[in-house]
Amino acid sequence: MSEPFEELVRQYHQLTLRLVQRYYGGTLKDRAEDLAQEIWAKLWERFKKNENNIVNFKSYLYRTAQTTLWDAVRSLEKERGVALDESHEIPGDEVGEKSRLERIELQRMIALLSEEEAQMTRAYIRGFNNEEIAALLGCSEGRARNLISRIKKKLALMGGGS
Amino acid sequence: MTEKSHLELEAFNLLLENAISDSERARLVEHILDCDGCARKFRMLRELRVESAAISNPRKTTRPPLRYVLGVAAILIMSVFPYLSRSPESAAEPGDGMLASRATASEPFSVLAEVNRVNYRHALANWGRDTDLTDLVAIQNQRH
Repeated sequence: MSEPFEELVRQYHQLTLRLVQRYYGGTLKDRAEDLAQEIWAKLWERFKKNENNIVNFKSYLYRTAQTTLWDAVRSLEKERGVALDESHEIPGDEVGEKSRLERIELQRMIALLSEEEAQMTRAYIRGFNNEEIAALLGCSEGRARNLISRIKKKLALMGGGS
Repeated sequence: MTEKSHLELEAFNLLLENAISDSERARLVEHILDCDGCARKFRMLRELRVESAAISNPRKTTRPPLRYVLGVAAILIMSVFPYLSRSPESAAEPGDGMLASRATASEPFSVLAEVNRVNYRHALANWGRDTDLTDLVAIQNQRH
């Protein structure tokens, strides 16, 4: 292994390990060391091809970590036979009648909003924070925050509370 | 991508990098909002992206900049400099004017004594100035 690459490993290994450990709510924590090694092995292959070009190393690191972790989650899902995130709520099946009616009422009110407002509301109900909503809808965080605040007031006026 | 299949990594990347048309974004957003798995994956990938960005561009330390520290030090030095520059004796014993004013405030009858003391000091300091032997002889003659 060349000296510049060793230096990069020394510099970024702990950070890479931390990324793996925190990814997907710590789902891959047990395999963190192996996955970090896998990421570095892939990076080494890329580094060998173009040793002098380490300008975009951080970008390579991000991409490699992303694809490695993505594949790791998928293979884990296959191993277990179900999606790790299988938590679909089936409206009306297990929730009470009151909740079902509230959901229908909420859906009716959301239908009265504009498309962007409706998407924001649905994302908000899903538990997305302002930054996530902004990234999802391609707007600024400030806009997401303001719009959500306005939507809440609008829904409250419609009778849905905040 | 069919209606029921999950989104691929590349689709998430297009969303996160904001490199997508409005209509395509609307379609992907609809899917994410309808699919728990893709919603969770989107959130995780965004978090990974944010954390990676933090690694790439670490925030500056929260320590105050050196110039502020130097500024505060300079102000402190300037404020104590008058006391440091004075000798210990003079620091312990305030100046004549100060003493006189203090005496005026607290002990009015000692003012005259203080003035005399100052005059005596001036007389000592000026002794010999503009005088010669004839002046001394004149003084001697006056005494006799």
